[in-house]
Amino acid sequence: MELRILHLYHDLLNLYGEIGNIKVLSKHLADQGIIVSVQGGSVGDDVDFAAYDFVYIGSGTERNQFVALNDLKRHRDELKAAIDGGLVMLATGNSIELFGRYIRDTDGQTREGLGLFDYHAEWCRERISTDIIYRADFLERDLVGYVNRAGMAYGIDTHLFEVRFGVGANKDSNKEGIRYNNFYGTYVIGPILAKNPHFLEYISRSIIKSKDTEYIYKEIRNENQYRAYETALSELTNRMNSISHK
Amino acid sequence: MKKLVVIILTKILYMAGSIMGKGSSLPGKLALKLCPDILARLTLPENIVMITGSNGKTTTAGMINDVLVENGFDVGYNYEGSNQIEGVATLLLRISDLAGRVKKDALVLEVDERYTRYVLKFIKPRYYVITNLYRDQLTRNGHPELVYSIINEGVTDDMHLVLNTDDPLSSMMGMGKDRVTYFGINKNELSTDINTSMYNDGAYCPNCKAKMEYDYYHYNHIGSYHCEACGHRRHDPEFAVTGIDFDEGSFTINGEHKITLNFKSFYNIYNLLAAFTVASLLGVGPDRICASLNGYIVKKERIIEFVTAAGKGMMIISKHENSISYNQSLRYITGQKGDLTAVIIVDSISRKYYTNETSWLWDIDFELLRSDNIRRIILAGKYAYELGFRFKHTGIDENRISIIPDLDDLMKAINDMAVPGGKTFVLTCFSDKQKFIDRVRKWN
Repeated sequence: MELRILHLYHDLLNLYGEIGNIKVLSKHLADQGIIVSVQGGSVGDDVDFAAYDFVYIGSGTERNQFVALNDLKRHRDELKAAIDGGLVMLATGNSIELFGRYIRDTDGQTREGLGLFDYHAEWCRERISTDIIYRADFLERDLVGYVNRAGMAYGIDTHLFEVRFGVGANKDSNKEGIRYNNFYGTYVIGPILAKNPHFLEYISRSIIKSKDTEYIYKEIRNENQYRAYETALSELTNRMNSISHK
Repeated sequence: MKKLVVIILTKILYMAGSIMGKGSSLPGKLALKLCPDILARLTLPENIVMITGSNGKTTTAGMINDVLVENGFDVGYNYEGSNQIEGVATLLLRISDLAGRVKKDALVLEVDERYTRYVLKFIKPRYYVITNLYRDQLTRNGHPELVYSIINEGVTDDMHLVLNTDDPLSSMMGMGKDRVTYFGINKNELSTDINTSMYNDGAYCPNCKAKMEYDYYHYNHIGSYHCEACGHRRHDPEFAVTGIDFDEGSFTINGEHKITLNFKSFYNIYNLLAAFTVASLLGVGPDRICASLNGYIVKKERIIEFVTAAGKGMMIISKHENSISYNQSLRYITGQKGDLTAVIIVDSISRKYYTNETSWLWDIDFELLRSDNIRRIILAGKYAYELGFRFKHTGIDENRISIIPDLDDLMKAINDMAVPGGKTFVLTCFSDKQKFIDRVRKWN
């Protein structure tokens, strides 16, 4: 099997070690015996979404987020067609705001989003920066990570996660993220696939399945990744309990 | 009257605190509470140097202070750990007379980048040094562009800016300003044509967001850049490093002023260069500055030497949540001659706040340790397994790597596994420094 990965805006939306997602995923797939190629696609580049088996987009500064948004508008219809057609895609951090209807900044100005989904984002005066534990019905274990963002999302109806610790899509929500077909979007930043072996395996299976439903996925565990995950989960669980007991 | 009371009270509190060994921010904090504009009511000397930025501000401030003191200046200087407005207030009220006059030849104030806007409300520096703006403590700071706006808010036309011309972000503060002095390192044999780091924060112009062009890089996105669209570019520095000789351990400023290095890293050169620049602006002669800075020993707390049965070791402070700080230390290690052992400790991420955030481990160029002379790598502390997983993606031979999650096992590991006769380098942060030192003492 050969798989092609696109790291969208690799040089613009890679603020919190997000390159780790690409490193970890491509190695995990290669360990399966799959030939993996990774390409970056950025401002002004010709991008053919139909040519990729997986697309990843990460977090950036608020200004870089808008640079990416303006550029991505060129590809809006092809991207929508690819996602509707089952393209496996992961969006982390503030990149999820690009796919909604609009983004309203702290001065009340709004910028039109790609409008692929029916939610919108509003930036807050105080930046949201916190550790998180989320639960997903499609993962056997909780997800650990961190959010560091300017905005809140409103109007998501197909969530990805339930909040156990930290914040949700907005201050009134105990849900977070967006799921549609094989599109997975979350405000969680950074190398989420490195920190969460179960999510890495889930995404890997999805990519392989979207390419060839007959292909047999091999269970390949990296013990260090699992131990690191257990450390993080136990740290965060202790943190959660110590806060709730105060 | 109120001013007098606050000054006396602060002095008493400071003295009491010193006797009890307490930190120096509390007296200032109380003074600001009692009289919020107390700093504006002081009479300060004309020569105020303020230093901020992501990396190197403490070391640079220390160097500036030392050069000035050695050259006859009576200096007021806030030491490490008191770089927020409270610490600055403690210092100034402590050294002022009862009428609120600070009779010093110069003030050297290191200010935390997030507090600059508060301090600048009351104190206008004559020279304002911004060392650089990098990814640093993003859990707290968000990202470098946010820190830029916070600092830039406080900058006014009457300040003389001293900027690092090689950093595309912080150098932007000089745009449209008349009073700017740039310092920087010119192209040299260590410069590279491409940026091989995990990320490129110079890929787009921080001013207009068009794609940036680079002529060369020193490390990460630090180097010579220009933007075709808006004209933002590296300005020719008035104070330029024109030669670096790491073999001999020296560098040269403006082709003629040679300074010897006790610690051979780019980092150290930038700090020394900034100190040279400020001291020159304050009128100290170049030869006298060089004499003060030659072989400058970076504060003991940042570089610590130790001995184990395996041989000599050196601990280098690299700030957690700061990939450039780590990269600099990694480059220092790989630049050493002979076989050696590298130890990375990540046990607590911060000493100031709780977080479990480890994304920054994936921003660090650990790939640099692929160098042949790094015979053994020990990954230690609570986050040793995540480090182990990160190293799995570096291409480094796994037989060279050991994972020691419990710091109580670390000294034995170094003793048993370190390359015999080769030096051991330990990289860690302030948050874990003492844990290591305590274990070294116990072991010896």
